[in-house]
Amino acid sequence: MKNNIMTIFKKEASRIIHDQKLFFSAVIMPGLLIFVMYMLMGNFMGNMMASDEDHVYQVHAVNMPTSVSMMLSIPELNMEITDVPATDAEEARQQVADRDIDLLIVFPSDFDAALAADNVPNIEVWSNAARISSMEARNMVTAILDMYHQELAGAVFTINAPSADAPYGHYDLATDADIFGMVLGFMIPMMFLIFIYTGCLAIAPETISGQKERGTLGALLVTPAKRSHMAIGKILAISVFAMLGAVGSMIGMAFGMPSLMGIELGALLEFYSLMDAALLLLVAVSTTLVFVGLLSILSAYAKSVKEATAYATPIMLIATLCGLASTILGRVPAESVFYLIPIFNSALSISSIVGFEVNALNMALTAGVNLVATMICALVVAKMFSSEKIVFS
Amino acid sequence: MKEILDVRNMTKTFRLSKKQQQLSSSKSPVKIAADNVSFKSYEGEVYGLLGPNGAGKTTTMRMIATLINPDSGDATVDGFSAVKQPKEIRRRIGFLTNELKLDQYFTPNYLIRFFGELHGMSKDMIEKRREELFSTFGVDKFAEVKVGNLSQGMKQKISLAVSIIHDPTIVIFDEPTNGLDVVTSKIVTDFLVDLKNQGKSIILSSHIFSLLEGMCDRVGIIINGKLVANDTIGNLAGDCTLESKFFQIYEETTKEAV
Ligand SMILES: Nc1ncnc2c1ncn2[C@@H]1O[C@H](COP(=O)(O)OP(=O)(O)OP(=O)(O)O)[C@@H](O)[C@H]1O
Ligand SMILES: [Mg+2]
Repeated sequence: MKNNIMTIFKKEASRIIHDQKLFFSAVIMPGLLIFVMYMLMGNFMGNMMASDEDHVYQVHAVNMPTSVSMMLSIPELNMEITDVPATDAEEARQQVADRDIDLLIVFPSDFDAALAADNVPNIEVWSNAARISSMEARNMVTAILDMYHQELAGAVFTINAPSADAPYGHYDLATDADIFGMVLGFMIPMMFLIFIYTGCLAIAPETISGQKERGTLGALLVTPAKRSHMAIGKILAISVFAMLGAVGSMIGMAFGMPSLMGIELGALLEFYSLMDAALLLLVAVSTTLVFVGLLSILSAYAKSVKEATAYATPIMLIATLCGLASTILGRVPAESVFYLIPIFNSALSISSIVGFEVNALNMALTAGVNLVATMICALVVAKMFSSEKIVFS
Repeated sequence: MKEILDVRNMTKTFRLSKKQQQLSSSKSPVKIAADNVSFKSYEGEVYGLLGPNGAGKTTTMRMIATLINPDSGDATVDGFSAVKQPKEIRRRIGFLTNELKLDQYFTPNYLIRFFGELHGMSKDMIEKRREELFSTFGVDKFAEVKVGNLSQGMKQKISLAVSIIHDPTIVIFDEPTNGLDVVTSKIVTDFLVDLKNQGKSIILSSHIFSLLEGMCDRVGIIINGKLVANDTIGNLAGDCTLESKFFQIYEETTKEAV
């Protein structure tokens, strides 16, 4: 009688494959949406804060003493300093505001004389926080001016002065990979959960409530096939396509992420190993199963696709909240208790994978807990299919 | 005469929601849809259930078909109990109503094979039956056209074929011509006559007197959940028509109730 599970499975699968709209919205759309979203966000952020290794910082300077301009001109700083007359200062400031140049440094005209006379001359460093390269240039310039100041004043002690370990006074130990992971850890789980959920939502109500609504479920119930087999056959079919959708989401993410981060696709492989991808797939698949289980229960309860979709909204909200888990907690917790809650554990696991903090036990817990949750859901659906109140309401 | 169906004291009550209570303008929170219903039907006979809307015809038939469980009582089909051996009953009955529909995304060939498999038939058996039924109904040409693209009459023929793919011992039809136009209705009634001629046992519900009068060997009249008459059509109608007899019984029963 295992046969009946296969019979039901094949029919539902064939239904989904042959309905282009259904197939598209469950399998293709989530990945495509992720890709397009990441692209758009990447473009948007790229425009806002362009930053790359070879960037030559455009610095305009008014009245800059040669002593300072020599310090700023060392090749390691990658700065192109353009002297502008004081009358053009206004215009240069506008260029910083428009993000056309990175920095404007304005010295008083009598800087050296004022120093000699023990006055306190002020140096203005105009920057634009909305442009990463502008902030980087500002940090370098103020650090160098600070050193200059300490030299002039006869320093008692220095902080982060250039040394053998940090020749340019750059003491931040975060690697590129760390920064990369931190940003993604906050952004990815939520979007990923939402898109996986969208894929499940496209097929579960259609396959279960839709058949209740159209009366085709009743035709099944007069056959000798077991109710539990019908439920399992349907859930299996929904799962297979929802999982394809999850794989599609991963592919969409892999191709969208580079443009989100403003790097090449190949550079992604420097940060993430195949192991990371495999773990992400494991989490994605186990999460998909939980979503399918929950949506199947709702769909069995609902009288129509419309009703099922309405019931599904709160789960979407929960998924969104879970997706923000690591942001709300402010960290990716290592304590295993957090990984005992389905969906919540998925969000944390995704954050930990992209944030390079994978913990094998917690990964295993996530996959295991989600699988058990799915099986419980399947049992509930099987029970519901045997209930006349559910089937003939 | 071999007894094929034995319905014994079947009762079914539904709990009504607040909304349903208002709709039925009744104060009672429960509805007795079938009230101690008992009747028998015999091999090769057509048994007709006659009753007004909401009388309990569908409820009774669903209990026989094991789609819902009776609160008390039982029905046996060919000796198998609906309550204790629902699977055995589902193997032996064909059930057709307008509420059970075929998936419009599939072809008749696909669907008939699908239901054949669910009935546990072998591939050879299914193919043999399929060819037989499709040629009887004259739907061979449409066997690979999606059900959704077929005409209403063609759909009805496919439904009929699917409902008897497993060659059931007894066929249960709940208002089989309800909502169909005259041409499609004729397809169904012709089919019923055909089945009867083949010696199949049939349970049929309807409120069309002529259909029942022309086909049934026995008739049960159900009003407000109670089977108020149950006899051969000759004994029941006597000299007058089934219609006038029905209204006579209907008036007597509802007067008592008032
Ligand atoms: N699932 C249910 N929940 C609540 N009440 C129900 C349910 N099913 C049937 N009823 C009620 O039971 C009564 C009998 O219904 P049933 O469908 O058996 O009547 P019927 O004789 O088939 O009528 P019709 O000619 O309209 O098809 C009706 O009053 C109906 O409202
Ligand atoms: Mg009815």
